[in-house]
Amino acid sequence: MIDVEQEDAVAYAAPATVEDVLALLGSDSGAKLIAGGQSLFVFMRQGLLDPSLLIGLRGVAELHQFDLTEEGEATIGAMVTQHALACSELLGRRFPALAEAALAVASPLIRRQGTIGGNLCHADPTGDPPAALIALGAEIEIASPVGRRRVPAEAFFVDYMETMLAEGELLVRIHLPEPARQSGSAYIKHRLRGIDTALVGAAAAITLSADRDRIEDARIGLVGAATTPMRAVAAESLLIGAAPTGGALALAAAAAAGECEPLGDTEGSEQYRRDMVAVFVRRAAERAIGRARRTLA
Amino acid sequence: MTDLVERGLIGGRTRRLDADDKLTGRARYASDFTLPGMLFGKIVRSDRPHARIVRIDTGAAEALPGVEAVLSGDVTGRRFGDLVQDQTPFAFEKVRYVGDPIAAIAADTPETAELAGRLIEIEYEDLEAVFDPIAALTPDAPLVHDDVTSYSGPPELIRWGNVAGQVLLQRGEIDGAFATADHVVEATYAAHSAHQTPMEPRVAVAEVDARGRLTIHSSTQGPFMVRHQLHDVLDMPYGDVRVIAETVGGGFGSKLEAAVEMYAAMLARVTGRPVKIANTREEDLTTGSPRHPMIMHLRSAIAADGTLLGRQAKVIIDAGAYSGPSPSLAAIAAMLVPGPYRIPNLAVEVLAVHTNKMSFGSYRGPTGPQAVFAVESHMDHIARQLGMDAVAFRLQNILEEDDSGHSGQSLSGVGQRETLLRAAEAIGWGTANPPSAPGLLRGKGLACSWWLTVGGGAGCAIQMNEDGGIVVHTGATEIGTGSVMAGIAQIVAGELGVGADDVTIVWGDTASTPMDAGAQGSRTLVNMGHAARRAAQSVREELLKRAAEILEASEADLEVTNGRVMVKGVPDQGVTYAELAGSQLWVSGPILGNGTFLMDAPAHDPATLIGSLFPSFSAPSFHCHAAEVEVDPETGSTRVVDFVVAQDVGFAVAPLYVEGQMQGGAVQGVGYSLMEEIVFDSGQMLNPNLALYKIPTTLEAPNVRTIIVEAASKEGPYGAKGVGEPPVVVPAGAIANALANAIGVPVRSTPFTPERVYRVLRDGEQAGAPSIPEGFSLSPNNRTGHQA
Repeated sequence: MIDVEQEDAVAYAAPATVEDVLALLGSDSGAKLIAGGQSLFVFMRQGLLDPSLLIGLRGVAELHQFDLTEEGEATIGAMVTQHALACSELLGRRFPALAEAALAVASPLIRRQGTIGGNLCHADPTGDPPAALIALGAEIEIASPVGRRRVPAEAFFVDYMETMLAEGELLVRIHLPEPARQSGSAYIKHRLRGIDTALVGAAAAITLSADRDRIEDARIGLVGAATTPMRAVAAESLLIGAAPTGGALALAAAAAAGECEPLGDTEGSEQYRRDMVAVFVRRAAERAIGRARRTLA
Repeated sequence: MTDLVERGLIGGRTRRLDADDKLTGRARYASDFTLPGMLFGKIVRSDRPHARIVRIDTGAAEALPGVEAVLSGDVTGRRFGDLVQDQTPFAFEKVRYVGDPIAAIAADTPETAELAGRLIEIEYEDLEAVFDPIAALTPDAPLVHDDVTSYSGPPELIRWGNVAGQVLLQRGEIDGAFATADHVVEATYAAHSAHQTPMEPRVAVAEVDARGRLTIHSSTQGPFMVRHQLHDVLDMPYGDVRVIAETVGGGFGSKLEAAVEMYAAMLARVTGRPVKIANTREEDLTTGSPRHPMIMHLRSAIAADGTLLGRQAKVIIDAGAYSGPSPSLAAIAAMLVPGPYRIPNLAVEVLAVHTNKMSFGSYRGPTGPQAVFAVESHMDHIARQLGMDAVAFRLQNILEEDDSGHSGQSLSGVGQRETLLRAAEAIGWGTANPPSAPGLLRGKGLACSWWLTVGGGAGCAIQMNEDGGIVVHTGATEIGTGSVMAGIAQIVAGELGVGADDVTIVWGDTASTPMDAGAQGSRTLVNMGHAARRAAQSVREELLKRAAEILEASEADLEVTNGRVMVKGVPDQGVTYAELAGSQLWVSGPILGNGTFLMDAPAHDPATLIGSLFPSFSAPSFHCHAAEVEVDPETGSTRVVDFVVAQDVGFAVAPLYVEGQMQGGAVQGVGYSLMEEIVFDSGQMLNPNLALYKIPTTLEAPNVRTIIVEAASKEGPYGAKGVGEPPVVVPAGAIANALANAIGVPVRSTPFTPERVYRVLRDGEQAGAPSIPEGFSLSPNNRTGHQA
């Protein structure tokens, strides 16, 4: 039956600390967080979400921290915008896959509002940053009333638009481990228009041996390839230990196409996406290898 | 004329009168209207493609607090339709498409109206539906309408079964042409549906006065057409229905019919309060009158030297649920099949066929993009087969001055050769550009077409103010092209020797402006231009008459310039307009001129056409577009990297806005060719929002280079021809040929999405060809009526 009750007004809160956010989340099971609001308000407008309390995160200083220096790990607060990531020259140099993925998100207007934390929690399987974070071996820091924990990026996404966040939990920041020497990363996306989500997106992070004749480590993240962003482990295993040549890349690309489980829709069929996974895994890996080669020994 | 043109107003680059308001956001659109006591209307629609309505229960909706009226059933007992009276305001016996209106609600807020809509319970008995127009032609197909001939409509129309209209174009001896041909080339093409997608969805605000007379503020592009339909369906005198076209936020043919207006009007009448209906984007996309899906089979007979001898064609137009303008548009498609080429022997059959999908209709250049895609792909196909250069092959066969058109009309102002030569030169025909990156493929292609300028009545009244300023009253609609606010302004200013800024234009109000047949068919400037010119000339005559008395000179010795009447060659013997007009109110009486115009259609040979409502092309225009594309063969992604529009406009009254039409149409054509597509599943649109329905953004828009060609028409003012539609008619043909050139294989279905191009590259031509059921004859029928 149809619910004929008229909607009540939505309450709004603007806390300043992570602890206050957690307390508010605990106080109302109908609470929703606003990070950039670029997806939340669309869902509310479409009637897919009907929150009783909206918690604005803009005033929470900790979530805006973006710690990135010439070496070591980097941390990115949940409220850092895609625009800030895309514009960071240092991020582009040290973690190019993430800078490229941030720049690939929608349009300039949306990138200035949309945040990395909001993007991850929205868990759209065709969003761009998750692929880069998976390839870069990122960990996601989650705060809950009982403490904080870190989970690998690929474990964060559990189903279609669903993350492992439990009720009352908050994504605080992302940890990017220091890239190995002689490594490179890249994100490449296939899309219909410049502002569209990914038909298929592939990120690769490749570490070469000291003599650069062998792939020592490889991580591949995919979007548009399954109901969640995914890690292409079969493709990775074919790359690790192989020479960084076309033959190995072709095998890995075919493996990625085999291990993905894309959805078909009006933008592209399942089979087309699968074929494109192979193309974009190869291209991302090629670009990542090229960047790894250019690093100083 | 030359005189005026030389002075720079007519044909000059003058800024349109509404530019400032539009740029600063002051322009007032229908959705800006909020009236005291206004209610919000909502149309409740079918979610079934074909079903009998068993029961409608509006009780719960009516009981909802805030709901003021719920309408459903056979509320008016009257039918309406563009040509054929096959529609009722609400479906009450059966629904024929997903989106067929069933009820309408007026409530105090949009949210209450929406909620009430969900409370209406409709019990259906599903009927077998038909979605494919070829399937709809089979003898045992479900009938969308029980008997199409039971509806009143024009006597020329040939209808039966699911056929809303059949048009036959026959000329010469087709069998003889094929018997003597050295080459016969044939192929089948399919083109898809796309939506007009104006920035502004359809909106109407209706109010009634104490005597029950209606005023409707509307987003329409044809206020007199809307008034006519409301008169029909509401059984109200024309004078009791006032339709005011507000600033139009784009129309492209989607705002010709009384759609939201009809429901807002009925709800306002029953509640006595103003009612606003504003379509959501989804409602606009799913219930519009978008471009027709078409299947086209072409077969040509060619002599060894490349001369076209004859052409057979069968064209199937998916009309959707209701006939709308489709039966008349079938006649346009028939005239496009031979293209702008001399083909002495023709046998063309066009069928507009009902299916259980939304009604397809008048999207800018209706049937043009689809037909030109097929015809110009076919022309390249022939050239390839004969080993001829595509430009040389076309040049050998194009229509020239004084040639006979396909239905026997005598052609003049044929600018085809010049557009073709100049477009080919601009694109660098014959030389290939290197791709932007290794592995990418480049190709060039071009396409030609002719197009018509639709007629229809046009009226204009011009009054002079006391200070010599000019007020123009015209029923034309400024749909955004500039044809009124630049074109009409420039004509009036030029004819009266004033600046365009001295002109005020009041337009698009059925109660206060003379009649006009609406912004459609590229007609506004050609038709209203004449009416405005005549009105201005009549004002000028009055000014000369009054000045002749004051100056004690003969009218023949006087001329108008810079707001003055003066004796020719004696600039200091003159009188200003202000001096002539200042005493109008009490002494000399009003200075008022009227002008009307109705274009005569060119004579044709009646033996060539059966079932046609467009038997000849008035003020025909001629076109060539050229494209260069770049394709990523691994993904199938196609990018238009260069685009040239060469358009024969007859005479460019307002060239700044002529170029705007050429550029905008080309970008719309790129969208149609590469990405925009209404995707249906069982009659339901699967992508009814602008995230999924892809219109090009600035990132996908190529640089469009424009070439204005001026081969004067006999019919238009100063030789002008219609300008608005052709820019979107030709691009798909040019892009198709550029794509085939780049990848070495023609893609015979639109749009050229990455996936389709990828499949053609991988699996060959057949992967891009339409699938035609076995046993379906692609040969044109040469008789009217049911085929065996």
